Parts: sequence; C-alpha cells; structure tokens
Amino acid sequence: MNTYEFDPEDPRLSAYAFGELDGPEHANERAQIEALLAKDERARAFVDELRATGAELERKLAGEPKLELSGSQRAAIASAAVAPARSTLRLLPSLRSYGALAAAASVVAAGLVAVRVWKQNDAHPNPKDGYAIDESLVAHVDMPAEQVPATDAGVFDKAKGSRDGDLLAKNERDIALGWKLDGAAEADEPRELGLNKLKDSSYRGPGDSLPPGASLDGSTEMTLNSLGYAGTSIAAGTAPSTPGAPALAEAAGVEPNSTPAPSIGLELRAGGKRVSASPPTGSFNTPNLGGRGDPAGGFFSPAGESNGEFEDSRGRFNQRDSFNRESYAHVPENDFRLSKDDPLSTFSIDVDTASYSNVRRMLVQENRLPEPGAVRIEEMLNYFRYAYPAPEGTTPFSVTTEIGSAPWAPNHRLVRIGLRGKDIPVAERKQNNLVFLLDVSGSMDDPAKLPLVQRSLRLLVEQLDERDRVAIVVYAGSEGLVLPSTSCMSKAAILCAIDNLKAGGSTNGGAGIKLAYKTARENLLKGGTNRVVLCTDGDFNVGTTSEDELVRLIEEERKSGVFLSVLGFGSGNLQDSKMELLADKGNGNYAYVDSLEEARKVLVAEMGGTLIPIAKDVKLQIEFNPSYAQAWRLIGYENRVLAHQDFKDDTKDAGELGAGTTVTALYEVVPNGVPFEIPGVDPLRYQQPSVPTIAGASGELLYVKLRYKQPDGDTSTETSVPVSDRGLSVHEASTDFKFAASVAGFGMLLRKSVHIGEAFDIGDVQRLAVEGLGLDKEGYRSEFATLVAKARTLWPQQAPEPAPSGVK
Amino acid sequence: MNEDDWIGAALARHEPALLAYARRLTGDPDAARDVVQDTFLKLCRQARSNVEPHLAEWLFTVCRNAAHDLHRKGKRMSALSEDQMAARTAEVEDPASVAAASDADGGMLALLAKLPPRQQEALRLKFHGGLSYKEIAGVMQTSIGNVGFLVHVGLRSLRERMAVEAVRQNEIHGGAA
Repeated sequence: MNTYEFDPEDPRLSAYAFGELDGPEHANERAQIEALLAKDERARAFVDELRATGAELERKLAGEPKLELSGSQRAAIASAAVAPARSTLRLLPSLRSYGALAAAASVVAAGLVAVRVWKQNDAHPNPKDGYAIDESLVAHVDMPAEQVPATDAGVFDKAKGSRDGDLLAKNERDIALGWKLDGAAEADEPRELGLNKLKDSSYRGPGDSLPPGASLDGSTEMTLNSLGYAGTSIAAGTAPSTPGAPALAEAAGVEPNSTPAPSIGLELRAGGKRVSASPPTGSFNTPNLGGRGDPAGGFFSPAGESNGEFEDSRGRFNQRDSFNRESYAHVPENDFRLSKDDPLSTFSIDVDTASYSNVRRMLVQENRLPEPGAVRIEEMLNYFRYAYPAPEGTTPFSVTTEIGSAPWAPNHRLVRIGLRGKDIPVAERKQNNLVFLLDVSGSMDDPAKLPLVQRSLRLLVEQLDERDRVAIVVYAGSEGLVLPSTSCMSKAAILCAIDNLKAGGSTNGGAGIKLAYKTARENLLKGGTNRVVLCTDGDFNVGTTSEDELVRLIEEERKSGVFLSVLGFGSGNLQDSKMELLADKGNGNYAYVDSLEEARKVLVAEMGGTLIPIAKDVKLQIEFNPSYAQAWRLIGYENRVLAHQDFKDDTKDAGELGAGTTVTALYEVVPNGVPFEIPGVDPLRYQQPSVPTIAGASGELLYVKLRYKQPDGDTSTETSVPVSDRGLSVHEASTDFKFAASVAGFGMLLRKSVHIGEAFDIGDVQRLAVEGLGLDKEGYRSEFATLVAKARTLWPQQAPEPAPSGVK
Repeated sequence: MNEDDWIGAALARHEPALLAYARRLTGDPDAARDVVQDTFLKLCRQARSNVEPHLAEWLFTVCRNAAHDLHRKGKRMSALSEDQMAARTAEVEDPASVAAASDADGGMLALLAKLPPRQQEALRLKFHGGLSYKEIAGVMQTSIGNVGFLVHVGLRSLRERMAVEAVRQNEIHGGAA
C-alpha cells in the first residue's frame, strides 16, 4: 500500500477529487490517495486539474441553453401534486354526505391504495432491485399496447406533436396524459397479476380511477376506450348479474385497514349508474357532448315530448309546468304608441342571447314549440352577428340604421338600429380576473349541466393566458373556494380543478355569490375585466336568497368594479327570469348554454364580447317625428324599457356593450296616412287625421340618441344620428335586414304577438330567413333556417288547438 | 402544503438537469419535455417517504426508463447505438448550443458530445444532475466501479481534447494573424 504510485488511469483519483471517497467505508482508499498526494506533486496537480475540469464542466452544463417544461406541463404537474389534497381537503365537509362526493372520496382513498401497490414495485430504484422497477414501469406502459394501439398514439404522439403554440390540444393532451398514466397503470395490473388480483381488496377497478371530468373530451375518451377496461368494468359495476361485479365492487372499496365501508364503492356505482341509462355508446359518464346534429345522442330524451304542445295564454304555462320547473316571467309585448302623444322611446341595450338557445333547445331537442314567455325577441336578434361597420375614431361603437317595410304588415315601416362595438385585438385585450361561481347542487348532476359547465369552462380557460386569473367558487349546501384565484400560467391546474368538480347537495346561491365577489375583489385587476361568471341551472332554492337581497348585493358589487355574467345550463329547472335579472343588475350578460357548440359561441368565439366591455350603461333614446310617424312600437326589449328621464340620468344602470359585439333593435312604425288604431282605444274625436308634412322617402323619420360611459367611467357621452326613410320594401333591403326581420317575425309568431296579421305565417318567416342567409360563414343563420323549418312541422294546423284550461 | 413543497422543490431542483439529460437520451426537445413531465407525474403518485431518500436517483431512473421506453415503443427514433447517439446529439444540437460549442471558450460541450455516450451520460449525471457515483450506478444500471471509470475516463479525455483544441485554436489564430 505504501508503494502506491501515481497512475493517471486510476479512477479513484476522480472519486477522491469529487468526494466519492469521503464516507467512512472508503477510509482506506482515501488514506492511500492522500498519502500519494502528499508525496507526489504530479498527482496533486492531476487531481486539481480533474477538479477544475469537473467544475468547468459543471458550469458549462449549467449554462447550456436550457430546456424548460411548458407552462401547461408544469401546471399539470402542480395539479397532479395537489389533486388528491384538493379533493379531500377542499371539498366542503357538508357535501360529503352526498353520493357523488362520497364516491369522490372513495376514489381518493383508492388512489392512496394505488400508491401503496406501486411503491412496492418501483419506489426503490437501488441497484439491487431498482432495475426491476424499470421493467415494471416499462411493462406498465407496454401492456395495454396490444389492446389498443391508440394508447401509444395518446402518449407518444405527444413526443412529436406537442408544440407550445398548440395550447388547446396540448392541454388536453397534458391532462389526458396525466390520467392516462393513472389508467394505464391500473389497467395493466390485472393483466400482470391475473384475476386473483381482483380479489385483493387493495386493487381498484380501473374505471374507478378515472376522474369524472376526464371522460369528457375526445382525447381522454380515446384513453378510456384504449384502456379497454373502463367500459366493461363500469358495466360490470352497474349490472349486479355480471360475473365479476362483486369482485369489482369489493375492489372498488378500499384498503382493508381503511375505514370507509364497501358501501362507498356501491355509492360510486350509484353515481355512475345514471350513465348506464345514457346511450349505449357513452361508456363512462361520457355522453357525447361534442356530438352535433345528434339529438338522440344528446342529453335530452325526446320521449314524451314529441307533440308540440302550444299554449296561447299570456300568463300561464301549459300542463307540463306542473312538473317542469322552468319558469318564464311573462312580459307583455310592447304596444304601439302614438308619436304625437309619446314621441320618445328609451331603452337600455341588451346583449343577452340566452333566449335563442333556449328556444332552439325546445324545438330541436324537446320537439316542441317554446312557451311564449321563453321568447325574448331582442335576445334572438342579438344572437346573430350583422355586418355593421367597425367604428371609426374614438367612439367605441358604430351606429347603423336601415328602414324597410315590415314583412308582417307591409304598409308599416320596420326600422333597424344596429350598434357594433369596436374590436379589440386579442393581444390588446384587457386582463381578466374571472371568478367562476358554479352551482354544484344535486340538480346540476346531469350530463347537460355540470359536465357541460366543465367543458364550457375548459373552452374558456384555454383561451386565456398568463395575463388572466381564474378562481372557482362552488356552492351547494354551503359554499367553498375550490380554486383560489390562479394565474392562467397554471392553466392545467385550473383545468384540473374544473375536472374535479362534482355535483351534490342543495343550492344556496346567496352565500356562494358573496364568496365569489369577495374573491374577485381581493384579486381586482385595475383596468382589467373583473367578473363573476355564474353557472347554474338557476335553482337558488335554499337559504336566504331573497331576490331583492341578491339584487342589492349584485348592484353593490357592480360599483366596486366586479361585474356578473350568468350562464344558464340544463332544462327543467331553469329560473330564466331570475338569472336574467341577476346578470342585468350585475352589468353582465346572460346566456343559455345548451350544447358545447353554444359554449364555444358564447365563451370562445365571443369571448371578446362576453368579457371585454367597451362601453357601459349604453342607452338609446329614439325620437319619432310625428309629421312622418303616426305610431311606433319597439320590438322586444320589453324588460329593458327605461323612463325617458333615465336617459340623461347617469346613475341609472343600463346594458354594457362588449368588443366586437353587435346589438340590434327593431321598431315597427306606422307612417302617417296608414289606417291605424290602437286596439281597445277609440279613435280620438278631436284629432285631425294626420297627413305627412314631410314628403315621402326623404323625410326624417326619427332621431337616434345614444348615451354611454367608458367601461371605467362615471360620466356619459352622447351621440346622435338622424334617420330618413328611403321607402324600400323588405325585399329591397339588405340581407341583414331581411334576416333580422325574419328573426323578429319568428319571435313574434312564437310569442303569439297580436301585432302579426293573418297573412304572415311561419312559411313567410322561413322564406325571409333563406333570403337573409347571406354568406353565413359561421353557419348560424342556416341553423336558424333549419330551426324555423322544424318549428313549421310543429306548428299547429288550422284545426283549433284544444285550449289550455282556464284561458281564453 | 407539504406535498406541494415536495414536488415543487423536486421540480425546481432537478428540472434543468433532467431535461438536458432527457434531451440527450431522446434527441428531441419536445420528447424530452414530455418525458420529464411524465416523470414528475409519476412522482406525484409516489409516497413521499418512499422516494425522498433517493429522490434524484429515482427521478433520473424513471426519466431514463421513460426515454428508453419512448424510443422502444414509439419507433419514432432510430435505435440509439452508441455512435448513432453521438451523431444524433450533434445533429439535434440547437443553434444556440452549437454557437456556444464552437466558441473557443465554450468548446467543452461540443467535446463532451464527442465522448462515448455512457461517458457523457455519467458526466452529465455527475456534473449536472449532481448525483453521486452510487446514484449514477443506480440510474445507469451498472456498478459503482464502472461509474468511477466512466467519469474518470470521460473527464480525462475531455481535459486532453480541450488541450488539443486550445492548441488548434491557437494555430488558427496564428495563421490568420
């Protein structure tokens, strides 16, 4: 040993240089080398050089152009790290008693079990048994391959296909990947371990491991299918007669020494059971939400609804309403007013579109004509975009007017007034501070509700970026913050929180809304858009939810800069008027979301419109010229009519206009010289029959005045436009005009408007809709035409309908 | 929350080295990201107490397996024999690192890329991943003695080649001047 000579080939020199011989077990070797270094200068220099080289290499490697995980990958990891904690800790204790959440708890419990099982296999990669791990990991990924090549694609396409720019797809993949790995791990188990493993109570069925949200997008659906087990295990779980079901049910229970009883597993089944009632293709709680043009595959069973019950009363709903809790406040139609008595019309703009989607749902999915109270013509008009020019200069919107004949009353004039908000390029848009206030009450436990909410929110969140913040508040029996305000840098964490939502409990909207506002205020973005987005079926049925109290709260919060938007989901429970009221009071919009397509329109295509106010408290006042207009009537906007003196009163709230959105209002005007009397009012004895004082087409028919505030302003700006009639008929007017007239005519027919004559029917609406199709790049107008055609088939024939009891 | 800290801290500490490592193994930055994401998602499912005592070793092992698995399964990469791997790493070098490598002072990484893959791997794990010989042995499925050999030989060759390169650079400079 003392004779040890310097040998530059001796790896122990490096080992010594880099501290590998520091441990007591290397004392001998260390002593040897230290002795060498003491006597041999070359050896000392050599070791120094090794150290210098190592240090330089370390520095160079650290300075290498760095790869980084993408934000979404990072967030996926962050959310995977906290996901179990969130489910167990952040769900409200009071919700636990509900089946779905108990099931959630059992999934979590099962998740812990899985960790235990795994740990034995691969948490010890030490040289002895560590390599077994590799193989087991490999095996985990390899195994399902033979079942489904798709699995490979699901994971390994990522390798090629993922680019940061492709955020949407990427996020989906990231999420899918996360779950996929879970799923794959479990799915492998029975294959590796054989059926006897099924009896091991620590094994959990693969289906149980799948989070409910994960089943809702295409990529994950592929994963589900690819696992092969998902569908079958659920089927087994729901059908007690299936062999293996007991074992699975048991397996879905929990680790032997953990407390939850097997009944939890059964509750999970119960939670999944509704699924078995859905179309056979829906494997695990996976109605094909994306499926278009396939109402049968949708959520609404058309059964029993095939007959379009129609009721023509003004205040009553038909028989169905004894069990259908949808309620529609009936608002009487605006009547004609005489210009010389009442030349002013004042109203607030309304950019809501919910009524159209709602009408569409009833027609398409429920095969019936909508209740007249559910039809709000202005919302139908504003569902569609019109080719109004973009504003110039500093005005935040443009005003377009056009006059043609009213198709339902050819000697009346139809005046169209269109506003278009300026476009804000996405890059310039304001940052958003969004607080989703989600109803997770038991009534939301329906494929058309919470799962659709989840998907819709995913669509929206995917549009956001690091400038934006998102928080999620849920409310049911009580309320809770399931996602504190989170930057959209951590998008996957947000998406994960969305996916983890479960329904259960009864509703207490009031407390949740307070928490949501509080969260929004605490994260207020000055100069940004601060908004609470309420997603509900409108069932505020528990607790102190006096409507007045809510409205007061919302008005109060509006002043603090937090606005409210309301998204309505589902059918059968829709408190339509309340939701609209809330949105109105909160300076927000109300939209009804009945499908993913609709979610895309409301949240994604119109995200600008939904989220970026460019003007608020937008009021219109129209003054009619009595020497031309004998009488006038505002079509729709019934609940937006303002008192004339409110026009100049800046404390009076009115609608807000979003970037790029269009707002359309129609007036029906009776020109002078046309026989006209207001129904129920005798002709005036002392009035002279009016004659036009300004000749025909060149006359100034009306004068439009607009007041608005900047989104963060307190004082209004006023602009005005005079409008002349050039005497066109509807058929000579623009495509947009024809289309708007068709929509209004349709709405009036559905509302059973008294202002529509015998001569105008649903066929006329259809013809006009087709004339008004235009380019229809987005296909919305064609859809409308289809809708009208559908309504036509449901339309009551000339044979008198059996009148609903008690009315007329 | 402790759980957060654990994963987050692991990510903060090991992400750069894992990504660089995975990139050498896969030859593709996006595949590397996916492999590393994978690794951390797997980590999230582990009981902290089981993994933490040998966290770095665990991470690099799982990362390595995932990368190899990707290669084996996906067939999207050609089989990486030792020389192919060397070729590939040179090939997929991004412009920035090529620039850095061709820089006279930063030529070390270019030279590193010319070492046999296992030497490269051991050196990366040692000097970027901060792993001990024992941990590297675990990751690379070899003996500690072999790791010592790989590191030692690798460092020596690196040092010698740097010396040669320095001379060459001097000659070029001399010729130009």
